[in-house]
Amino acid sequence: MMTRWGDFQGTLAVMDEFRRRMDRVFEDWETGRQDGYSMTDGWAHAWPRTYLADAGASVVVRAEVPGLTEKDVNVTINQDVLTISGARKPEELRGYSVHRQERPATNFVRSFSLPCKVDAERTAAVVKNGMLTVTLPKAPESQPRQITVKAH
Amino acid sequence: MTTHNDVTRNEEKLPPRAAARTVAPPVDIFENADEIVMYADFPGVTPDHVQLNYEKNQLTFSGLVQEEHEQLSSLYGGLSYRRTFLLPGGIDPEKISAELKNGVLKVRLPKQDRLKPRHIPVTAG
Repeated sequence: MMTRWGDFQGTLAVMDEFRRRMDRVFEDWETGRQDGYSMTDGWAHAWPRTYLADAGASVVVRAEVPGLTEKDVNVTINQDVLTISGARKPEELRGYSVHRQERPATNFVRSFSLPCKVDAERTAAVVKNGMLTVTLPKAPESQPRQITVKAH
Repeated sequence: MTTHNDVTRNEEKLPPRAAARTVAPPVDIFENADEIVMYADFPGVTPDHVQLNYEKNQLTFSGLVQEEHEQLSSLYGGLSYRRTFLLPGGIDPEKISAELKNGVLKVRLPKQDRLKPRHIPVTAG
């Protein structure tokens, strides 16, 4: 039987699609491997992802908390330990079937030993665009000091 | 039909890959009779730095992180999120909408009317 042109075109379209997919097979995997993200382990092993930076006069802690507002996050300082805790609620969609769920609801508590004494009174925590930023000013005795070098 | 001589090659139409670091954000996908809904974690992205691209049943969304803290700029500066999905046919491209709230991107993909389930009224004969 003769192949109709429509079938032939359809086959080409499928091959085109296949080639396009193959081009992209490793893309997500490669990009996913960077920065501690892992496609196979999922994201749940340490949530939220957190960074700590020394800004000279203060210590800055940054946590990725997408979907959370200031009401969902608790920040406490107990001596030299900073604790971030909270809960992420699931998306509330009724009557929908689930195809993929990589961002599950979770309760989290993460504690960090601070590298120096901080001023808990002046510590500020801000949630903006799904990023929590805690700025902890260093205590006076922990402030960096410039030592003047003298000629002898 | 695509041939080698095709002037408009597919590759050229694809959104350019960011030169800086790109990570694949985690995504939730839900579907009901009327639409497909996607959620993606985009922490640190503002609405004017989100891009959505829908072509040939392929949806790509990306977002560039805006970092204000100088000390964290080496970490987040130029960081972007990007993911591509192949969608089933029958999505109405004109009605795709997206919103970004608290660092979460929500994309709604309504289905074409002809694919929606229809209620057939039964009348007495």
